[in-house]
Amino acid sequence: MTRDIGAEFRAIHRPGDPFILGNAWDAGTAKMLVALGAPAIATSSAAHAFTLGRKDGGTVSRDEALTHACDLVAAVNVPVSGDFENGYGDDPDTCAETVRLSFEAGLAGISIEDTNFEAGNSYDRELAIERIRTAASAARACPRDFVLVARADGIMEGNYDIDEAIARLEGYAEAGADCLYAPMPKTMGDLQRIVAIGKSR
Amino acid sequence: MNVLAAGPWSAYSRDALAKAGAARISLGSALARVTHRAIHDAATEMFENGDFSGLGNALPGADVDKMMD
Repeated sequence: MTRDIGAEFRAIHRPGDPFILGNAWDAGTAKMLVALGAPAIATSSAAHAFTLGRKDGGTVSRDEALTHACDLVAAVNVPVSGDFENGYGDDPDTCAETVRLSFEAGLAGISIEDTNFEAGNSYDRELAIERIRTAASAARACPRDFVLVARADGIMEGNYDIDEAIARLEGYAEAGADCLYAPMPKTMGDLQRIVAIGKSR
Repeated sequence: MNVLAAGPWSAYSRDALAKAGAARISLGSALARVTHRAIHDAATEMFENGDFSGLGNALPGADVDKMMD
């Protein structure tokens, strides 16, 4: 039977009983983290950029990110998720294409954020949600499971507040995202508001 | 829901984030930047003070080897 790495990855997402996703930046660090207990590995766009001698934020191409992710997939026997910035394009169809290429590369999932690197701000809410809707549709069209994480990065980037993040995450959930993520809320109360949006996401 | 355990959020334990309802806890680039801290501090001591003692704290190569299976 063909292994469904995406389903294995989805199964360890249990609200209230979190696993620790080991963000690695080369095959050796991925192997170390698995040996030390990580049940799943992810790339880190910033850590990867630094290994290339580049700054974080839109400096790595999709091909480079996919090749890097493949190195981690080949190194470990646990699910690997791609931290794939803004999906490597503004267009929702580009996000969908990134999902398909990631699935074909053997990834168990990816995250897509709402940062427009060229403009130096966040995509408008409507476009951000449409990008997730199109990516989620591509994920559901994969022959096996694939975990799509939808990120609202505007709090961390200083582009919008918690209320806007909540509105985006609610939109992402409705659009079919499997897991929601708003990095660096300012307080535990804000985090609890975020978690309350989708207990199962 | 994913929670990033970096910056101020690194002060919260897995149990605390579990109680908040997290399904997974990611590290972002924080662990990589911990190694960058090690490089930064050891290299600063070497190049500014000629002090190599920071290298004495290295994980033995044999221990790293064991994790490369």
